[in-house]
Amino acid sequence: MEKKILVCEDDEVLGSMIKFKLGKDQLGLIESVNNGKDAKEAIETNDYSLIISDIHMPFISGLQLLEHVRAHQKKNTSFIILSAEGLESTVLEAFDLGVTDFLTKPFSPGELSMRVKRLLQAA
Amino acid sequence: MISRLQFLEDQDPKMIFIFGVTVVLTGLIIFFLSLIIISKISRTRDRRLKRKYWPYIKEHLAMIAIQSVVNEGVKYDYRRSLRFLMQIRNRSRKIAQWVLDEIMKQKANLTGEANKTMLKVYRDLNLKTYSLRKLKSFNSNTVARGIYELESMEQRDVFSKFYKFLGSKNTDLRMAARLGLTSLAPNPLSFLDHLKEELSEWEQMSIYNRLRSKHKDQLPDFSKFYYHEQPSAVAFCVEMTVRFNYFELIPQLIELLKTTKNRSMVIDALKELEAFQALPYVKRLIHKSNNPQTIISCLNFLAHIGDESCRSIFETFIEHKNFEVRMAAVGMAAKLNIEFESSSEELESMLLHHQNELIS
Repeated sequence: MEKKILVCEDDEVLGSMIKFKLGKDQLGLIESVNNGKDAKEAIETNDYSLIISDIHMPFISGLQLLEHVRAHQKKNTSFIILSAEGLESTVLEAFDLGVTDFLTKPFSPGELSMRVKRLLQAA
Repeated sequence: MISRLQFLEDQDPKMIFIFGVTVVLTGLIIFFLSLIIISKISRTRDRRLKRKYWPYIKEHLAMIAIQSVVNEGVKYDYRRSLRFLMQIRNRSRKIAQWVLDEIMKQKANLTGEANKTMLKVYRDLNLKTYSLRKLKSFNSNTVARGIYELESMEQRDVFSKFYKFLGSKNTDLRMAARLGLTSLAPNPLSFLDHLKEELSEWEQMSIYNRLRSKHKDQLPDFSKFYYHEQPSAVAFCVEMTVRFNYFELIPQLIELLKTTKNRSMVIDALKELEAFQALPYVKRLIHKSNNPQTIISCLNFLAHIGDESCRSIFETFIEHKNFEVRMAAVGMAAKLNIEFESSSEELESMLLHHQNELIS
């Protein structure tokens, strides 16, 4: 069965580029939303193998979303946080909440695709 | 006209004054109302323009970005997007600014090919002209914005235009010029030659971040500014010498030690660089100095680089009147395994503190 990936990114250009790149690399069925509220709704109704989320999003932040995912026992779902800030405290908080990987902007879409591939293979 | 003036002459001066004030106030109200209406119209126009063009700007930039990361299988005409963006760019400066802002945002988000592509779009749309035009503005914030845009889009050929803003009365503009020069000038710290004020900690951090992104060949000779009239510039350059591990500048740092007022800072830097060459100078300096901070730095240096021969120094400074100095002396002894019999309760607790620190 094809693995489902959710991309949560409020920057439409970046979001569509990530979606396109992962789709092109045939990593799974890619869905995308551009705010935390829609992401939460999508997570409640779907079972994703991987969620890629920006840290700053409208309504619900990436960290809050991660907290929600982990609180709802979706322990197997891999979670990648994208962030423009590489602050140690933010990174530590993300890992404390159970993030699988953390990518600081600027990043290469190719690198993101490689990390996603590795995570999906390991899962 | 004469009859009107005569009419005014016949009136009570109080009435004339009230009449004048009313006229002025009415004029002011009309003026401000017009301003509000004009700005409202302009905002509505901008909103309408944004609603109309923003989705297309994003769509075309997204397609361009996608094309740059997915090399094959995408049948997409870059020139078509470029033509479209060029057309809407020409409609208003506001639209050109939106395109520019979005390009800058995407360039900041991405590395590799996508990043290079955003630079190409900036160049092909000739948006540099818009950024350069800002440098001619009378508004300092607009000029600062122009510098920031040129810096973000790596327009190295324009760096010389920033020098004239180093003496601006506007703090933000001076800072933008300094940061712009750090990023774009062949000698990143050339602005220090014009520096007359203190470099704030925030600015030092921002400059450091820009220097970090450079190759070692592009880094400046920090020792050139060791004798700068601004102590903050000297402190920054000494700090950078350490951060970038410039071991070859150790002789210059030792030389600086002989003349600088802030010896403590230089000794700390030498300690970080593990400059054993400085050992004789530090041993001499510790006995000459009256400044507790310098003495503490010397003791910390000796704890790091020194050896058993430092026992006499320990014996001298364990009796020092300053508590911090005594503490550093015990710390040095603990680190160098200098054996001594603790003669007081204070010495005992200091030793225990340092031993615990070494264990942890």
